[in-house]
Order: sequence, then C-alpha cells, then structure tokens
Amino acid sequence: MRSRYQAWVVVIGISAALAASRCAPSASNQTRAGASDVAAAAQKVYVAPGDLDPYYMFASGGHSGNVYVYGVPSMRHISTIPVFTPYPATGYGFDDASKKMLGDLTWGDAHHPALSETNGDYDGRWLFINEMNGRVARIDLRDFKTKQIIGPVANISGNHGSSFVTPNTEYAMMSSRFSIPIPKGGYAPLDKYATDYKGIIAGLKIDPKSGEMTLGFEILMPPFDFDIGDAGKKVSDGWMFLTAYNTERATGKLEVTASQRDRDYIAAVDWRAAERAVAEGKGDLIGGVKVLDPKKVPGIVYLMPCGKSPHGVDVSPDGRYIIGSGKLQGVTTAFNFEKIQAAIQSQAFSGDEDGIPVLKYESIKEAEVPVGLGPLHTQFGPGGMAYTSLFVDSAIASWKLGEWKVIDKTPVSFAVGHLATAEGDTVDPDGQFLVSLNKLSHGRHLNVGPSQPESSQLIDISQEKMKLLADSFTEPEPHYAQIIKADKLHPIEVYPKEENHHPLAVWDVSKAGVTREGNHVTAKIVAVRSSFTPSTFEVREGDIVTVAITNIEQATDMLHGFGLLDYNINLVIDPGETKVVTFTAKKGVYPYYCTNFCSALHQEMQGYMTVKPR
Amino acid sequence: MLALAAGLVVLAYFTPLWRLTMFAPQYEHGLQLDIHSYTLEGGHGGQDIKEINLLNHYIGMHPLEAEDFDEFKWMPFVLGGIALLFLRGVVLGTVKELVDATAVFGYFGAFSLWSFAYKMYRYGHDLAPEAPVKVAPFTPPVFGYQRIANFEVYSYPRAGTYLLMAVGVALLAALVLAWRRRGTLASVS
Repeated sequence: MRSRYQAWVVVIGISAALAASRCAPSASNQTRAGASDVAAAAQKVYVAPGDLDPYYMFASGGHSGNVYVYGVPSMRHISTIPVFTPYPATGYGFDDASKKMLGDLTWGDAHHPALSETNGDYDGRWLFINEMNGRVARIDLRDFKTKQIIGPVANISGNHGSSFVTPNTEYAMMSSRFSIPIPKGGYAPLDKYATDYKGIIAGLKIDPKSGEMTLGFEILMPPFDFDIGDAGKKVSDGWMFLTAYNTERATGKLEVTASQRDRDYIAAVDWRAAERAVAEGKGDLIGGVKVLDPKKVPGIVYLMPCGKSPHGVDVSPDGRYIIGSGKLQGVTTAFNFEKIQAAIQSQAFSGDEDGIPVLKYESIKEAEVPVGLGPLHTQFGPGGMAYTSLFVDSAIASWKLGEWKVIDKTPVSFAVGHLATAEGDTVDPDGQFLVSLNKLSHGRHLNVGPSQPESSQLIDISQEKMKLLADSFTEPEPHYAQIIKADKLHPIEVYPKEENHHPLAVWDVSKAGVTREGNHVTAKIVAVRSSFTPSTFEVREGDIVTVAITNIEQATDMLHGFGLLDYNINLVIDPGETKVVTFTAKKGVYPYYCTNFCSALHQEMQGYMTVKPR
Repeated sequence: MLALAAGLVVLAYFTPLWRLTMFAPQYEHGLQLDIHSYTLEGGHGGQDIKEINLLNHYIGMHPLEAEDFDEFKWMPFVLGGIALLFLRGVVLGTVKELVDATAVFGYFGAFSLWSFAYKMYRYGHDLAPEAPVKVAPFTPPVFGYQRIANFEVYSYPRAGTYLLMAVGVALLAALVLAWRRRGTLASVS
C-alpha cells in the first residue's frame, strides 16, 4: 500500500515536471517572419540578368551622409549618391567644386529623401534630402549628382523634421529638433530652456525651373523638438504638418522628462499665409534672416494635440486625413482636415503656447485606429489602404481609411522605423511593394562582427494579406526611402559635349597643356582612352597648381580617374565632364594615373608631375 | 526606262551605299558605319565613328575621316553626270546614247567597288609601326562577315547600292527592249 502511494507520488512528480517544462517554450510561438511561400516569393523578386527593375528606391544613408539607390523588387543596390560626405569612388569631395559645396563639414546625418512633385505626384526631376547640421541638398535625377547644399541655415538647430516637399515642389521644410538660444552662438543657461530657447520651422523656396533652394520663411516656435513632417495635398494643399515631442519643454533625461504629458503636438503651418507675410515684409531680423513671430503674425501656425511623443505624420492621398501616431501608444489617430479648418474658423481653441492657438483633440479627431504598439509612420496604397510601422511590436499593420479597422499585420525583423510603399506618399500610390526599413537585423545575415547592417525587407502588398518576399541589408542607416516608377526618370548616360561650357575645358588634344601666370600654373589635361595629354608636366615648388581635366569621351560608362599620389587628390571624371582641383606644389616627382578602370591599356594611363625645387 | 534610271541615280545620292556593323561583347548593340556617296556617318548620332576611331588607334589605324576620301569629292558629281547622261539618252532617244550610258555606268560601278575594296585594304595595311597593339595587316570585309580580334564585322550594301543595282537592271532592260525593236528608231525611253 505504501509503495503504491510512493509510486503515485513519483508519477505525479514527473508529470508536474513535464508540465512545468512545457510552460516556457524554447522559441517564441509567434510566426517567424519569412514563412512565406518560397517559390512564389522568389518569382516575385527575381529580375533576370540584364532585365530592369520597374521601380527605383532612394534610401537615405543616415549618418553615412549618402543616398543609396536600389532596384525594387530585386532589392539590388545599384548606386550610391554621395551627398554630405566625401566619397572617393566618384571623386566627390576631392575636386574644387564639390569641396566648396561640402564646406567645412565632411559629415552629415541624412534623413528624409523627398522626390520632387507636380500636382502631388512624383515627377522624377530632383531628390531633396536633409541632414541634421541645418542643411538640405538637391540631387538632380538627370545625372544622379548632388547639385546644391544649402545651409547651415541660420537659427535652425538639428534639422530632423525636413525635407518634405509641397505638392508642386514650391517648398521643402526644415525645423529644429534641438532648440537653442537664437541666433546661433548665443548663450542662455539650460534652466531658461522653456523661455529662452527657440525652435524654428522654415520653408525653403524651390525655383520651379532650376530647383535652386533659397530660404523662404522662418517661423519662431516654442522649444519643442520638431521631428517629422508631411505636406498637405489636394484639399489640404497649402499646409505643412510637423510633429513635435518634448512639448513639456524639458531638459535633462528626456526619455523621462519629455514623456510626462499625455499629448504632444502636430504643428499645422499655413505656408501660403507665411509666404504672404514675408512678401509683406513682416518678421524680425534674427541671425541675418527674417523670422515670423506667430504672436505678431497670427494665423500662420496652429497646434494639433496628438498622441504622446509622436514621430511620423502622414497625409492621406486625397489630402483629407492627417495620420499622427503617439509612439508610446497602441493607436494611430486620423485627424480630419475639414474639422481642423472648422475649428480654426470658429476659433475653438483650448489655449495657446507662446501665442500659438492649440486646437481641441476631440474636435479635430476623425478616428483612432488600434494598429498596435509603437506606431511610427504611415504610407499608403491604392483604394484607401494604409500601412503603419510598429516599432515596439516589430510589425506592419495594414488598415483602411474610412473603415479605420486593422486588416492584416505582419511581423518584420526587427524593430521597423520608416517604411516605404511604391509612390506611397503621393496622391496616386501604386501599392505592389512595401519596404520595411528595420533598425535591427539580429543575425539574419552572415555574421560580419558587432557592426551590423540594417535590414530592409520587401513585402508584397498586392493582396490583402501581406507577404514577406525578401531580406536585404542596407548600410546605416535608412531613415526613410521613397520608391518611384522607373519610367519617370530619364537620366543621361554621358555629359553631351555641347553642354560643357567649363572655362577650363579642352576638347582638342592639341590645345591641352600648361600655362603660367606668376606662380599660378594651370594644367589643362585631356583624358581619353588610354592616355592623359599632357602625360607629364613640370611646375616649381610653391606654385599654386590648378589641374583641369576634361574627359573627352562620349561613350557610355567610359569614366576616367585622376589620382595624384601623396596629395590626397582623387578625381573621377565622367564622359564629357571637366573637373578641377587646385593645390600647392611640394618638391619631388609625383605620379598621376587613371583610377577608374577604362580600357585594355588602362594600366598605362599614367603620367608624372615633376616639381622643381626653388 | 532611262528616266527612271536617272531618278534612281539621284535617289542613290540621298541614301547610304554601304554599312559596316561591328559587334563585340561590350558593344552588344553594335557600332555602325554608313558610307554615303559624299560622306561617312557613324551610328548613334555620329558617336560610333568616334568610338571606331578610338578603338582603331590601339592598332595604329588611320582615323576614318571624310576628308581622307577623295571619292566623296567626285562621286556626287559623277552621279549627277550619269543622271544627266541618262536624261540626254531620253531626249535623244538613240540606242547609241543608251550603250554609252550603260558603258559609263558599268565603269563607274566597277571602279567604285574597286576603290572601296582598295580603301579597305589600305586602312587595314597602313598601320602605324609604333601602335600599342600589333596586329597582322588585314583587309576588313568588303562584303559579308569577318571576325577581327574581338569583333564580328558585317559589311553589306545598303539602299543606295541597291538603287544603283536597280539602275543597272533598268539599263539592261532598256538594252533588251532596244535590241527587240532594232531597226526601228523608236524611243527606248
């Protein structure tokens, strides 16, 4: 009897142990991302050798300072456009012109690419991109080259909420994420942060023909941390929306101090009103530029209460809804533009911040969509589809405008920040593909040591059910990307000879050579397969030497390089291009050679600069 | 018939006579060179002739330049002359004129072909001795296909030559007609 009792105890004990061991599975029972139909997915992303992708994706390179160009859906990295940092591969930042454009900064934290638009649709002309040191660059999509860097723009500090363009590329936005006492260089102790530190929202005016950017307007704002923006379109055209966190005006450890209020704001800027005020000569001169003070110029900016610590704000394709998410919440809010306008008309304000009227959340809200934890950004598809990235959930939720219900949710690997759908922020989104720009890749790739790439995952959104198609890995750090139909771009393949009006260009080999004026020597050099003319030239120690190289090729892909050893000089000259570099000669003999492989006798494409001692 | 031939001759002036097409792995769309009675014309808006010359400089070949072709100076006039000769035949309408015109045209055709072949021979044989790449002297194809180093070279007549061939056919037809009506002084035009 006793032994039988003991046996039961043993059996129960073992059962209990077994049961206990089943309580904690060794892996999450959440479906592992990537469990899609492999064969179908492979077919969707396969672009046969020699075939072309139907879409370009322009991804910001974050603190690498570059823009990366991908083909979608192959997710092949095709090209890198250097913007805010020297890039030896294309000689960017080594010749006089690009060095001058970069200025003293050889680093920039690029964030939000913005393709130029006509009537709210991508027109394939330019790509704008901001960086944190108060600058915005324009890339010409005719040759994929950075053509202008404006800034650092006065008074703006930490230009994160940028470079979102208006529907006809009238303006690109800038704003301060890290408010400072303005003008720059001023001082105020941090305990005066709430009153003496100022934020700025600015509009960069864009010339409709040349794309040249100039400062259009600046608006003086409370010291909130302005974060992300989007321009109104169609019914809401004429407005800019920018999120702001730390409306507590706190300092110190912001993760706590800036997370105290239940709601922060989206600033709604009537940019046409700001434009008019500037035209009327309004504004105070601060840091050398006119700044509009909303106290003195009412009606240019309003504050919309939004979920706590918002990050992204995105306007629906029809312009009716402004989607703002508190990143510490489980819902995203759709604000109704008509209700915002009605509230402004009836002056139904709950108060003000430094003279800027604050609207009432309940009166402008259309719906709250329970998308999931940590909603950041929303992009759109056709037929009212919306896709919201969920950082905390590490997932993407799809939902429908008007119905305000979540349709599908798919896990991503891991911790998605921005997301991009094909033409997904225009008036006419394409659907088809979504790229999840994830912050962490956690070893879903061959191990490359502790410095890990980010991951960009391609997701099929052509059906209601989202399907993961492919993983690709991107250099740090894609903050935002835009996907444009390939047939909207018509880049050139060579710089046509007749367009080269460079004063130092030489197209005739017999006219190449060296001229001297005092101690300034100009060497006009022709590069063509497979030689430099002249292949040697002599200068004197201490001379100021200007080397101007013209690549007289008109054949596709026939680039030549000019590497001058021991001078930190490395140019790459595209077919039909002239590049110039100026330096002081030091005594010795210095070889120069073609760095960019050109032809069978590329290796022989070399020469010497001999420098006579004084 | 002769009037038609004269028209065709004039048309031949406006159309290319011969085309050389060259393919290599890195030139998958081919490089084209069209020979007209008065000039050379490169494909891709003239870029191809520059590219051909650029490549040829490696083997020491003279650059192909319209100025080097004396043919381009006299050929248009000869074509015009032949057309006039044909028209003269039309007006005078004698078999004698027809035979003269045919003889001149035949000589012109044969001479032009020889001249073209000889030019090809000279280009392929007068190679600069200091050229970076030494190749055995060669004659590019006058007609048909030939492989030269990494290039497939095709050489075929174009519309202008076919027009001139049609002229030849027209002349022969006229001769045959004239032969049948021999004895009569009926016009062969």
